[in-house]
Amino acid sequence: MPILQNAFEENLLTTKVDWLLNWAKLNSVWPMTFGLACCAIEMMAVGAAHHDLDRFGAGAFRATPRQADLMIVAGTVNFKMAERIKRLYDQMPNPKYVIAMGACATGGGPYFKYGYTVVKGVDRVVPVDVYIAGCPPRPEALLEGLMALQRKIRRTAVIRKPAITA
Amino acid sequence: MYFDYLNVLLFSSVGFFFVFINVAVGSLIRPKRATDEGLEVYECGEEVIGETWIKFDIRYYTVALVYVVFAVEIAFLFPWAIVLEDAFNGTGVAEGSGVGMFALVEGVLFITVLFLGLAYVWAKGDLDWVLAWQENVFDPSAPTGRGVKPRTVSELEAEAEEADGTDEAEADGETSGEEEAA
Repeated sequence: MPILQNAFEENLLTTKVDWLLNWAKLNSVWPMTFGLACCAIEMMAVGAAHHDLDRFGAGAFRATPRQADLMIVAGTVNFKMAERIKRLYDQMPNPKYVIAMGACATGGGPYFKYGYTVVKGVDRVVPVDVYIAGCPPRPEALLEGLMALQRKIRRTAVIRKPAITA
Repeated sequence: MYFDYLNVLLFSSVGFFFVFINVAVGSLIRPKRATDEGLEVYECGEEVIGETWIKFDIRYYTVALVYVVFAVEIAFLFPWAIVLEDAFNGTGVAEGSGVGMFALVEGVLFITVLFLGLAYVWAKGDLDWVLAWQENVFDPSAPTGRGVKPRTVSELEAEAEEADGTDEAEADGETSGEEEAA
């Protein structure tokens, strides 16, 4: 029972505890092994030695959603796959994050107009945290997307109450 | 001396409680938003059909064991056969080793042992995959399909005549019963 979650006002102690928890979380974002199309080739390149996703603590690609924190939707999402993506996302434990990698996952990409089998963006199925532009994005772009996700995780409130934003 | 054992006790108790404290603190902090979809059995994203606790046919176990016979035979006999000529002539990889007849005897012994295993499962009937299906249950002790003795045409005709005779005899008494069965 998460009674400590978002239970405290902001003060020195709670912000430091949050910093520690977020620091641990953002440096161990384990992605799920999940490649749909050509973007997955770039994702493999990022995981390999030259770009080395493991520098950011995200190199442990898990073969099951139960152990994964991050779903990198790397490629074209068609309607048949969207159902599976939704189920896989549901089966991931909280907190979980989604990166829409490339033009197809972001908004249909080259299949936007005539691709009758293609979902126009994976955000119609699962909530997306970070969008990465490119067709396919360069490996550096995926690293930048991961760093953007890490910045997002760093800001999240764990035990302190979330700041009210306008 | 007692102090040494106190170290052990301290280490093991800290190690023991460390796990539970972590799990307890984690349960206080982590979000818990379990849904029915999330608690489904993971089947690579596919929808689960039926029960996931299924019984596997025990006969696959026998097949796997029999496979070992052939796998080991292939894995070891090919390299053995290739270097056998060298072993006899004392050339190539076997130069100066002097294993000529010894290599041959060893290989034949190996084949014999494996063949004994094959003969055993053959005699036992494990190579016959389909067991007799009688009265909607598998009966392992019933004669298998391959175990049926081959018969000549005249023998088959004789059996058919016998069967016809019994059918007619039964038909006189139990007409109603057969109609129900049909």
